[in-house]
Amino acid sequence: MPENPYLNVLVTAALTLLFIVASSFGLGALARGVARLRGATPKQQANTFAGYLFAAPWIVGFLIFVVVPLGFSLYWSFTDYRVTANQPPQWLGFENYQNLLFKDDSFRASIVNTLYLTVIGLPLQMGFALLLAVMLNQKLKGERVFRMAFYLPVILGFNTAVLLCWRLMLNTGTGIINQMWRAAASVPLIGYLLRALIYVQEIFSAFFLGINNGKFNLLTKVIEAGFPAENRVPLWVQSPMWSKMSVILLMIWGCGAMMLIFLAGLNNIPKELHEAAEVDGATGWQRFWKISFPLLTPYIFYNLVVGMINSLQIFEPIFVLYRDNQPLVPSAISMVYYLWQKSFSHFEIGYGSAISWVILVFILIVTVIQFRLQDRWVTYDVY
Amino acid sequence: MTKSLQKTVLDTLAYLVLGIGALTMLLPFVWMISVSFREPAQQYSRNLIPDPIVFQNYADLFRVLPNNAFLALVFNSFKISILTVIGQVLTCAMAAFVFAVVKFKGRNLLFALLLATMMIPPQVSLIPNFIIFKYMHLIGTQWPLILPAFWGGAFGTFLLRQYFLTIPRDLVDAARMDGASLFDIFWRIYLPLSKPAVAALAIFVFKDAWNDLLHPLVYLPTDMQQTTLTVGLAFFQQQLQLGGKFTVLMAGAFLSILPLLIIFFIAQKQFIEGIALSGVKR
Repeated sequence: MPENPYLNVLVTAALTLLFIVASSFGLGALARGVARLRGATPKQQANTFAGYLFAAPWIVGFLIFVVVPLGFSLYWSFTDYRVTANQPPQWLGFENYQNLLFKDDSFRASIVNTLYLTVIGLPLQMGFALLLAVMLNQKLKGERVFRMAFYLPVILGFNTAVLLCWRLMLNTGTGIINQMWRAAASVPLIGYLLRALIYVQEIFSAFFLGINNGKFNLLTKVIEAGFPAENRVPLWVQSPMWSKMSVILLMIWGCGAMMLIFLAGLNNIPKELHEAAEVDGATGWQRFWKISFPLLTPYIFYNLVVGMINSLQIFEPIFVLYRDNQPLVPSAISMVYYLWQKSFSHFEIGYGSAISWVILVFILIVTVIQFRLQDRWVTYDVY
Repeated sequence: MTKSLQKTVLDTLAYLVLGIGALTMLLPFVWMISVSFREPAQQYSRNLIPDPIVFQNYADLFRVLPNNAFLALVFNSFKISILTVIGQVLTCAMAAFVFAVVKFKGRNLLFALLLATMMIPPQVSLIPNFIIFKYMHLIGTQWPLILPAFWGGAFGTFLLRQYFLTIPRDLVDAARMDGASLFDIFWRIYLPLSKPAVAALAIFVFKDAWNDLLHPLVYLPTDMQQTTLTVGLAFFQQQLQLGGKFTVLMAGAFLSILPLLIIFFIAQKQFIEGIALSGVKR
């Protein structure tokens, strides 16, 4: 058959449309038939037909793009399947999982890195979001402008163009961030504070890198080197000790979505509560911790669950910042980056499937634990 | 301290925090725009206002890449994003409509399944989907990016259902009395009344499709005539950085976020309402 790209496109589109319509009506008719057999009234039958007809695209898509793939990927995760090899997949049993969890140093590094981003980055991100939300809630003039500025990064957030821009801005020697850092550090007291920040960050980072490779000599070296010299600046995307901090910086920068959720929560708090407390002589600080904070816990919970799922799935920033920077890769890769590398760069589909299942189980466990623990600290409906 | 003085101090503090925050948030955009109008020799300059202002970088952008590649990248991104929006809005709205309005057997079970799929990371089905499309000989074409959008999605269905639930049911009953079919009710009553929610969903879907890096990376050849802007910029930064000069690259970066910037300024209300809709509603 002669290759005609336009004809191919038309045929594929027409077939797809036909498939969607046919499968929708088929599913609707099937559901109506089942309803009739079970003795439903004509009105119930009509409703069942319409219900399945309208929901059919999603149901069929759910089968094709979720159920079937999950089954395949679970099967492949127990095999040595590779796309490049022409032989059928060989059954390996639990070998992939054993290698992953106990032997694969790169995967262990990716877990530790992802945890670092979650344990240190997420609280920072939520803290800044809450701070900005509380400040915005003061109803100052120009609130709209500020809200826009904080929300803009969410929309463009992890777009490649913006990430590339960050990459240049974070350059140690010439980047604008460090130029500003140097300018700020020349002020005596602020300079001291910034150096303390560098010190704390490097100790944390060296400790986590130590967990990665089992040797803590970097940590002792950092501590022996003592308090950073006056001309020290953060090394951002140039050093293994700063590679994760650069990603955290990007996470904090994109805290606008969380901020909007907090802002909605603050707006829902009845004014009378604050007014009554003020009459009783409570200070602003007391009112925040005794009134606002408990009533915000459902929103904090929501942000925590969504934020944790997002940070456990982080990919784009690491791809754009470190893909072509091999020496930094072990200190920066996330679980999803490792999944991409194994599956689509090395084409080890079986192994990659095992990684994806480990990530899935990991996220499920974390989410279930959070829902279990929520009764202990989340306050619903106290007013 | 008197009350008014205390308030002044607190307000000043709030302005300070908000001001520093806003400047930090906007810095990358300001810097990107600034660099894109600079002469290459001044790329490291600390002045945010370029002196002189030049437009050469934008002209170079179209000259440096062969065969109008930059235009092809823009076109591909628009094509994929717009088709994704059409597919998602249509199929999500249909499913959301029956979940909100029509009572039928198995509805609750289906809705529970829908919510459960939101928990599954997309990466798990990425590999099998890749293999499925490979057997359909669609790898290297844009179909794998467009087709899945026409089969609904959990997030969009949930968002629209929440909005549909706020529309009074009396409208449905009255329309039924007049002999309207369910499709009429969907098309003539629910969709027109839900413009804010539909707009919010459309914007979210467009944003995600436009920013997507992982899927184009996996499915499309890294060939500038066929891939999207995100992949194009990530892979061809070397070609755009002529002799270590990144002013042209920043011109490309700015043009590639411009559509989202424009949409954001036109439709920020929908964005913010959309967040509130998808947010805490148990």
